[in-house]
Amino acid sequence: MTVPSLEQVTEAFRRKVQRDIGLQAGTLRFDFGDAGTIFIDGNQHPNVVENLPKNADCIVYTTLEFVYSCILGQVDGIRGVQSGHITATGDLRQVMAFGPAEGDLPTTPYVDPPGGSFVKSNLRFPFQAPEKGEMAEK
Amino acid sequence: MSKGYFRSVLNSIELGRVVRQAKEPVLIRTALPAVGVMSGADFMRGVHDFRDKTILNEPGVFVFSKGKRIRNVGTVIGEGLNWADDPTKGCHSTLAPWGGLTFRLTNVHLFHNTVSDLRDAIMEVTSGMGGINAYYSTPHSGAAIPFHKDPGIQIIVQLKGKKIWYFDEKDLGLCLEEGDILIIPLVMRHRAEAKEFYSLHLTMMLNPIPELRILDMLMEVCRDASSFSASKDIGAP
Repeated sequence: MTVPSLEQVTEAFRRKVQRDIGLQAGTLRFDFGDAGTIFIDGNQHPNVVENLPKNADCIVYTTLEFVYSCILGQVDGIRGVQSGHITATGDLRQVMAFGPAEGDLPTTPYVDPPGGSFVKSNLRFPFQAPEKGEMAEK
Repeated sequence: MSKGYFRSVLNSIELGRVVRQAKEPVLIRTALPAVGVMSGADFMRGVHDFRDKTILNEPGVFVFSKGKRIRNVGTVIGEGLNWADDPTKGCHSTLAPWGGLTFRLTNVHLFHNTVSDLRDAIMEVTSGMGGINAYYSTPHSGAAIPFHKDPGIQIIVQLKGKKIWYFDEKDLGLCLEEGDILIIPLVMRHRAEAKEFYSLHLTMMLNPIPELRILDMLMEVCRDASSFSASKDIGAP
């Protein structure tokens, strides 16, 4: 795996906005410095993805090399944010909603983890009084 | 238990997706083997070491009784607590005689390695940031804090005992047991009571970091770009 080119990333964004939930509204631009820029128009559906340095509601500044380093695990994303390797200006609300279609959460408030529980429990909602001796600290 | 272990457990329960999408409280039963994360003895050691500290963003100890912060540990316990006692007794044996109290040990991640690893794993999986506090409640301690809202998403990990959580002033309660994880969405009113039980749990208040969410998305797109390009090369005659 190598650092993807701007053209490859642009095509990947075009596939993403066709496949998943794109921008619902507004405009977003990724400024990758010398590598170029990707502009996404969320006011059109499906979103239009171009390599034009237009003004956008939100602009993200980073480099493809930094993103690639995060993929390889060479760089910690949190440290990268704290040191300014990725910054964003403008209205971030639309970007926060830009993501894959992940499906709905269960409607009941109780979720058993995949693969079964670690500990069998016979105490369920609604609240039940404990058995005698259950309060003793193990 | 390492950060990698916690990361795999939290990914298996899709904690990142739950945190992003939950509009109601979500309780995940026995999601995490709580034994080994933090013991009652560790809690007592923290209460001892930081008993006179109440500074923001540093480890410290606060004491609550029936919805009010009363006094610091030194004043509450005074000379009645023998710090030379065997710390492996744990907090239930040591603090239970002071019934009706909740002890909050703040910023535990700053001095407890396993809790720090858990915090790092939660931050990576959820693209958020926050600190971890530990709470020990003696039986019949009531609600340490009455109904309130927090400016972040709450992630609660029940370590020992049981605690009942109430939301939006409804009588309906969720009973957390050892190993359960509860996610409370942003600014949802809530309170908790130990009832007849003792309870030891961790709470992390999570603040989403937009740049991390953006980075997650860019990494997904770049992986797709590289793998799509590689698959085209393989398929080329």
